[in-house]
Amino acid sequence: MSASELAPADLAQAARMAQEASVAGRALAPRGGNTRGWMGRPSRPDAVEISTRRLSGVVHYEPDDLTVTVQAGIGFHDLQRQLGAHGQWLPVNPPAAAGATIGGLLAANACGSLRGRFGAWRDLVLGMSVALSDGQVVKSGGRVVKNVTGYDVHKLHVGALGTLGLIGQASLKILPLPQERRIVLASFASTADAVHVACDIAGSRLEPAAVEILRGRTDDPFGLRLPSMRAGAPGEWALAAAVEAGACLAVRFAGAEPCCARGVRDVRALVAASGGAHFAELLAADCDAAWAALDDLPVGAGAVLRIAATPGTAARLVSEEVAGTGGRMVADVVSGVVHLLWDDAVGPEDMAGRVERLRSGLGQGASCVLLKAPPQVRERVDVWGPRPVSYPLMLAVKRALDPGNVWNPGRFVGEI
Amino acid sequence: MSPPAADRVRRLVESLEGVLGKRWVFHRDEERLAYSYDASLARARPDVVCLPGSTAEVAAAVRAAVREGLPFVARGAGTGIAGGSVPVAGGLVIGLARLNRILEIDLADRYAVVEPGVVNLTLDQALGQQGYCYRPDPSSQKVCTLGGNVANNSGGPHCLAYGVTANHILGVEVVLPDGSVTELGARHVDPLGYDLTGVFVGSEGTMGIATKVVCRIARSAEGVRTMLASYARMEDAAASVSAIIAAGIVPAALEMMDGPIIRAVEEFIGAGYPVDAAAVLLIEVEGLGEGLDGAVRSIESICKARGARQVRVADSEAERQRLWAGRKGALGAVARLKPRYYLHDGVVPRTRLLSVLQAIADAAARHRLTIVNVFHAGDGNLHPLILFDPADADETHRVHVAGEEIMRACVASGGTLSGEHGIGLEKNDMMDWVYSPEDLEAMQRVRSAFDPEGLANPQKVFPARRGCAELRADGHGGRPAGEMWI
Ligand SMILES: Cc1cc2nc3c(=O)[nH]c(=O)nc-3n(C[C@H](O)[C@H](O)[C@H](O)COP(=O)(O)OP(=O)(O)OC[C@H]3O[C@@H](n4cnc5c(N)ncnc54)[C@H](O)[C@@H]3O)c2cc1C
Repeated sequence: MSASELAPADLAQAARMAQEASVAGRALAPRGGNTRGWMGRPSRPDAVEISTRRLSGVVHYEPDDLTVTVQAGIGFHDLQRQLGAHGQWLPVNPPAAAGATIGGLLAANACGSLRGRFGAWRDLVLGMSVALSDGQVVKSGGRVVKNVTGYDVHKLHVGALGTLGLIGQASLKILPLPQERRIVLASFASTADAVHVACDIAGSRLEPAAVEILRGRTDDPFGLRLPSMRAGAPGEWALAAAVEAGACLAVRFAGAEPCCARGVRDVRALVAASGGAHFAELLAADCDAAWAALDDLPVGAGAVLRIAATPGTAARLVSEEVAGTGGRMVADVVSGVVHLLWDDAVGPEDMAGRVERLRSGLGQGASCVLLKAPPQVRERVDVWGPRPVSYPLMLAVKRALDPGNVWNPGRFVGEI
Repeated sequence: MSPPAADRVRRLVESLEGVLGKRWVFHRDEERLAYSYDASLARARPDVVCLPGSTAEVAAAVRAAVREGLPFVARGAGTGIAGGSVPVAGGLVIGLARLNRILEIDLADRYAVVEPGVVNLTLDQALGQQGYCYRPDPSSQKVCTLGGNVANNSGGPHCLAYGVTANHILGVEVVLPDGSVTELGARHVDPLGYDLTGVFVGSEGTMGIATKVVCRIARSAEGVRTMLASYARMEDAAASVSAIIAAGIVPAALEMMDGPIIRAVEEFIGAGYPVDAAAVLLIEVEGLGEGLDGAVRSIESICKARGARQVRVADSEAERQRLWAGRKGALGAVARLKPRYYLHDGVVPRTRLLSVLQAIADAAARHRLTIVNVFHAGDGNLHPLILFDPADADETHRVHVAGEEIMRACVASGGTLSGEHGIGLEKNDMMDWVYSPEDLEAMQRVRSAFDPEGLANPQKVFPARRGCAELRADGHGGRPAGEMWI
């Protein structure tokens, strides 16, 4: 991208830069930690990056309010550390969070599998300040947990990939750290069996923090660092082998100790009743390591496809091995979000064909977004897929908030 | 040149009758009067009222109004407390009462599709039979509609743990102000493109009319415990609320009632609240059976440490229902203390509850008014009720002044104008206390993407600069049916 990068010291300066760009007919590309530069359609070649790296502070944090207001450039892990010092956390687990900023994660709507229990970004954002291309800094919402004062314009910026303005500041709902965390892993010879148990758990009253199905092809493809893999106990090795051959179910609990214990007990019983092959409960340090590994999808792969569907549709897709499209897979069966990870060995022609087939099979019932893909694939298929029925309104919103078409032109859905 | 108003109205009536049939179109004086108010103090008559029976009819009605350059206002059950469904600019009121079918319930996919006129509790009860629920539970849930909930982004006692309406709506079918029909969102999370559902929810009918709503549904909790903590001092109750939240316990509900409310409730309902208490907290925890005892014990010890005189845990479902009946009947009970009340809705950061409650008490003293409090304490969502007699003009004036001072105190503490009731006509002239002209302009621009002509529920939400004299305290307002509660 361009050599010169803008780095405003405050949001007002960012807005002035945007206004100048608007007058000059230039494009700006907001940049946080640049961990997701691969998302969306390509940037316009002349777009100038505008970085939030100098906007990286905590603006307001009163722990007992359970809210925090931060500048967009603050690092995700940095914020979690600061909250952790007060026994609190932001209950989201975006993949590839290392180096990512809050602003970037909001713009990319990068959540994770905890969303079914704790909410996605749209549920956690209480308010925002944004730099618009007419030179104004505008806010919506506030820092209280309930607010119907004016429109929730901030929700439009979540997942907009920086096409409406530069997110400068956000207020977020936070939570006390859970007293206890537990992970249960179970392996199944057949993916369909794993899905069956997963759906039972997701539809139960156990209130799991996350229910995921993982399918991989190499030893420990998800870097779970299972104790078995280190210790090499023969029975437990089988678990790793089963992950390779079939599917692994990962159920997480977070909360009061007796509730976690109950959850683990019930899951164990469900697994046993369904003929699940192997079972492991991770405790203490192993749990922490595996928790982090589960959060962190290996997006280093060649391509990542994200399917969002109803939980039932997602479960069906997973049981059917996503119509034989191969690759590694992580499915959040509570929210209905499936990630497929393909390595470079899959040729661009083949990859594009798989995406098209999936999309035509799913129709209106799901969104199917190529989060990341080699350029040759992006040339063949639209990374976003067909325009939604409300596309004309989306275009009208874009024109209303960014009439000069300054912010990340062309990168979003339908070339917005 | 636009033809005289009467002609436009006549033509509107004709075209509506052509589409809906005479039976569902109303324009006689007494019919218009019936649609001139909601549960706020605002009053204004529509020119015409219609009750469409399908999305296509809603769209036709919108087109008919817009063709004549007349505004249109959607109306659910009319329980709004901010004047949202009061047609200040005249025009057409589109009542959604006939669109009251639950179209689909999909337990495996955890969503339900409903028409906008479905009453909140009706959906919840339909789900309850199957062990599921719809979480947002506005206190008016026996009457208010899901369309109204969506428009106002309504909350309720249990939104503390589960979030407000916006967190439970996946998508909406909308008749846009040009009469076209579109779909925002989907039946699943993360629909493609901008989160139009997110901005439509809470737009108070100013972006179009919701004709179908896709609601997220959830498993109902395995167990529930309800307790009542009573205090000799209001301060201790407020401090307990902050301490419970700070201790990392998020109860399902955490409600506060002050002394006058407690006594009114006991006199008229008899919920078993201690009449000599200065405040009580009604606290509920939900979830897996294993966690409930621990949560109850922690809350009990926090309350006691903050000076609670007594903490009582309901030991039967009947006792639990009785404790809630007091809360639910509080508004009806208060209505017997004075002819009228003005119900305010403000939000503050939870650590500021105590200081803002003090500011409310100060305002009451300064203006010689009785102000009582019954509210969603866990969210910092205050509901001061200012009691008055509308026959007393001076007192009525002081009610408005005190109300404004209370709102100022909420804003000054880092809070805002409304947590759940909306801005509507009631607070639109206060919007510039919290937003700059540029903030409001950006919101207007978003609105104009949906409604370029500004005919969907005009003069709401944004400052219009009217005097409060127009919010006349006449008619039926301020006295909702006894079965409703705030
Ligand atoms: C006793 C009492 C207790 C209450 N308790 C609570 C509470 O606990 N929490 C809370 O949040 N609120 C509460 N309210 C306020 C009120 O009940 C809610 O705002 C409710 O959501 C309004 O629903 P309704 O169907 O009555 O809508 P209405 O009052 O008819 O309309 C409200 C607004 O929604 C718009 N609207 C209605 N239907 C549609 C539609 N289909 N499409 C687009 N716009 C539409 C209207 O134009 C208007 O602006 C209470 C009110 C009363 C009287």
